[in-house]
Amino acid sequence: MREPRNPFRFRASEHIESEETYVRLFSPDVLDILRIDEVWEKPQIIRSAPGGGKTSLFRLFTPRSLLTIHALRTREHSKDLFRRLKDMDAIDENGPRVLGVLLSCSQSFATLDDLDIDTIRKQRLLLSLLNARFVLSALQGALLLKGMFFPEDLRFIEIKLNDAASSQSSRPVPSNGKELYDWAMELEQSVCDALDSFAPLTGGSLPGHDSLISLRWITAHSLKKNDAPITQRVLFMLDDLHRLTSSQRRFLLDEIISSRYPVGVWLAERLEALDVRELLSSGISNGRDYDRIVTIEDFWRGSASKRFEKIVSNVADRRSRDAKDVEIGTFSECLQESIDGTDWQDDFHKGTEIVENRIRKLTNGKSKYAEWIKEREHYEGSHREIAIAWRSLEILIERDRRKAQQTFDFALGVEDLEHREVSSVKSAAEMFFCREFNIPYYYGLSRLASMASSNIEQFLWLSGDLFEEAVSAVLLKQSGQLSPKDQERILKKTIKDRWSALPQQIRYGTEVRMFLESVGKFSRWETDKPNAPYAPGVTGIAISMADREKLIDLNFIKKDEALLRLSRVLSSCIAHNLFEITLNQRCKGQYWMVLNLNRILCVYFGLPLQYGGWREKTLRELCDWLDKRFASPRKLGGLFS
Amino acid sequence: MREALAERLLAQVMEWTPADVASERPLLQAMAAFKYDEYQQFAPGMRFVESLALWLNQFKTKPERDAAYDFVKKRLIFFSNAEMAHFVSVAYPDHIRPLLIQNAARALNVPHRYVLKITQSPEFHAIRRRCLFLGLSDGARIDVFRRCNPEISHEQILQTYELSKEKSGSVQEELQKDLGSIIGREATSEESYFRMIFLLDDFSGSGLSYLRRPEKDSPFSGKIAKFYKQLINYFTDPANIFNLDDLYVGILLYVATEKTRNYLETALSELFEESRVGWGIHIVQYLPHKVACQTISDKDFIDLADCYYDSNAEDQHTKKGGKDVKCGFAGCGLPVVLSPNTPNNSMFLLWANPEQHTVRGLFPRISRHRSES
Repeated sequence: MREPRNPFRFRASEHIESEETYVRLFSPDVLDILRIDEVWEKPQIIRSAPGGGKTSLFRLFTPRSLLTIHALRTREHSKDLFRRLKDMDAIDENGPRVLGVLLSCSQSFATLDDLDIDTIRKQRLLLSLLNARFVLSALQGALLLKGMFFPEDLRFIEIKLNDAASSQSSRPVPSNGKELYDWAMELEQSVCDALDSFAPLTGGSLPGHDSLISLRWITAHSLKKNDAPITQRVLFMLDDLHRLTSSQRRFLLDEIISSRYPVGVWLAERLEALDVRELLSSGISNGRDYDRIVTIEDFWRGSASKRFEKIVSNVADRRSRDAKDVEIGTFSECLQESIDGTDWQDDFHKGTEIVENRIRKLTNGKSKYAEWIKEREHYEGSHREIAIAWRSLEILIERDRRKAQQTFDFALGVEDLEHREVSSVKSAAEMFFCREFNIPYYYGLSRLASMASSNIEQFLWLSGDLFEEAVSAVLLKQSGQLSPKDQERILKKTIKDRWSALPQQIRYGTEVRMFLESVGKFSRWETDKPNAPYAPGVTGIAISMADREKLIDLNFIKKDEALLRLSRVLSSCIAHNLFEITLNQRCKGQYWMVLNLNRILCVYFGLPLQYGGWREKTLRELCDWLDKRFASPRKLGGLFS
Repeated sequence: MREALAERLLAQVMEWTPADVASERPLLQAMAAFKYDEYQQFAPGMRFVESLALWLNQFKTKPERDAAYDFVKKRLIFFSNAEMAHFVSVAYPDHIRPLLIQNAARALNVPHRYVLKITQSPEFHAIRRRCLFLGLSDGARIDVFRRCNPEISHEQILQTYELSKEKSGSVQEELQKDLGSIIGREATSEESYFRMIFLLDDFSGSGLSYLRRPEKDSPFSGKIAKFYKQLINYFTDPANIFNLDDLYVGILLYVATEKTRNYLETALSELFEESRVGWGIHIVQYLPHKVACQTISDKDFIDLADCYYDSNAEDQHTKKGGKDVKCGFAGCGLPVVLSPNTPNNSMFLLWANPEQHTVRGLFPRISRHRSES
């Protein structure tokens, strides 16, 4: 089947067949995830929710991709990528300097755990199969790097281990590529025979290795052709670690970390592989066990502001340029960024009048707010700015009126207004105003990047529908720039479709959706209070760190079915990036674990996209939301409102 | 026509907004790439989207165009080359082999669930060898059938159901030879006859081309009737390769309708009424009645077919179906297209050929019976 014509529809990099397309679409900024000084020496563990970009990153270091980048290094779209890889010493003018060996754990490794043999033998079988497949893949890659043919030219590859490596090997080391290939093929065959066997497996019939011996055999020093090294360094990349069983995964991680292999080892897994304790600790790297763990979403969240926006903008531009039907220079050209034009002037003007009248009615001619109102009457700016200014004033008056201890009716000065009118109030005012008067709020590249919640795939599927409509407009000889209204319409529909499909797509999906619905409705209820107490709005909840400890204590939650369900639901949410976690937030003298809603859920529930607003909850309250949806109290604001 | 141009034309014809184009275009592109572009009777350079745009453009009003587009989106059934090849590949293992196993089980007097035991027995091998597979038309894809079933000898699979005496002689000779090696002794010429014949074809919408009576109570005509006449002739031939007292005739259709099955069941029982020939109908992809256009639910499209009908589509051959061909030959009303050619049992608006008719079909059909005018 032909490739999709909307380049935003390319999702998993493994589905992009053409190497050139893949290289063209790859944004070099993604390499920021890797710390240049340590990537080749120390094991790197890369985690993310589905669509974070793990496989795309790994594929970049395979011989085929590096050779393509080298061949295209003078082309505009590949120049930056080449330079960044050169900085990492992965490539230079002469070609790739690293032999990347990529292996996915999705192929038959997990089935080894089903064999009716003891654990030690299962582990030895797992190591054997990994050794065989690493060797086969490395030999193919080595020949590719040297422009030779597989398997005909295997005999030209020499394996020359140094004394230390030879002494660690309990078996004779094959001396050339052909011997090594035969050894690996035989090994893989014997493991597969064991898997296919109906007969009881006996020790004698099973191959077994004590370690990942292939990582000692295939090194930059040992792999030669005509006595010259084939590559300057070797990198083993093990993808989809989450496809292993949990015991296999734990064993392999320990094996790789503790054995200190003389090659680079990168491991990638989805967050769903982690247990509750690990998931609820995401964002904290465990320096004791591993040298470096990168959770991709946390990396983008923790990085300088606009960094993620910059990278997704780059990704989007690369894809826009790849469109086959129409020519669109950059993706941002498709998105109208401002709402200050003439289209919405009337709406802002009418809305402003309504808000102004409401304020006058609210203050009922009280002199206390007279100066504030006067200041707004003379406020200068676009229709939008004036509208937001009036709506901000309404929030501030509401706040002032709700103060527990009412002050005397002395007139409040303009300085006081300026002091109180912080940016969060303006943000809340903008959102309230837009929602009330049906004016678009979710539009523009910056907000689109926020909606992606630091997940590149999420950005791609959100942008894909926008791009499709922009291309459609160009096809009809109309402007390809989508109005804010169109952007909001498309995004809301896309998100609604995702929300509907949630129960089918993730573990415990029905419970997860019900729980998220409660969190969303609760956040909306808190956000919509007239005085906007948590401006610009509440977009998450928090549990105390003490409650978090209870939640990750398996012995504790086992006794309570509701808590067990809650921990499962939270884990599933975190694994799929539906909650973004921040640990140890200090508030009201306590430490909290904050669970911010994925930003697409903010769009779904009509919440702002900024972070910061969250409300504390007890475990019991959260457990109740698993069975009963959140229902807002009839009156807002309590007894004295 | 460039794809973008065709898509623009389609959008204009359908009066689509960019939002409509954004929702419809990916679907059309996907279906075109997945299946529809492979239709073999499109004019050179023509692809599905172009054909769709031109097809819709001929309808005068927007509601008509909407009804037509809706029909294509929701009702059209297109059998691609890959799908047909799949039907051919499963025809023997899923439909014929179980029958052979049952026969062998009876011969061995064991339950038919003993599959391994049965299929390794000489009885099964002999039963299989005594099957003959004959194509009823080009659509039978005999070449694919052969390649998919290496366990059947090439000498058992023939392109055509019209057997010459020379061919039948050589086929019988091979059968005798092979039977000998299966049973471990020389097979006699009396033993060397085929016990099962399977007549293969790709598609049937009504079954009328296989068997029909031109007049009430007149003898049957059609392909199966013609084949049966041959059988009777062979029966009288001393070097016969069939024995009418010990013969099963199976009609193996890759795609066929409920109408075909019902019709053939009646017609075959009449045809073989006075003989001892056993028979059966085997359909790989069965199309129930509900697949055909329904008077109520497909009213808009049927009205369209009525409105844009060209009676020039009728000729002596279509008259055999007993009706006009607004809803296709014999009023089958099918929404079916096969990648080599659209069957004439489908709705006329799907297969009308702009070179012959006043309207354009979405998948124009090349007729077997070409008009001489």
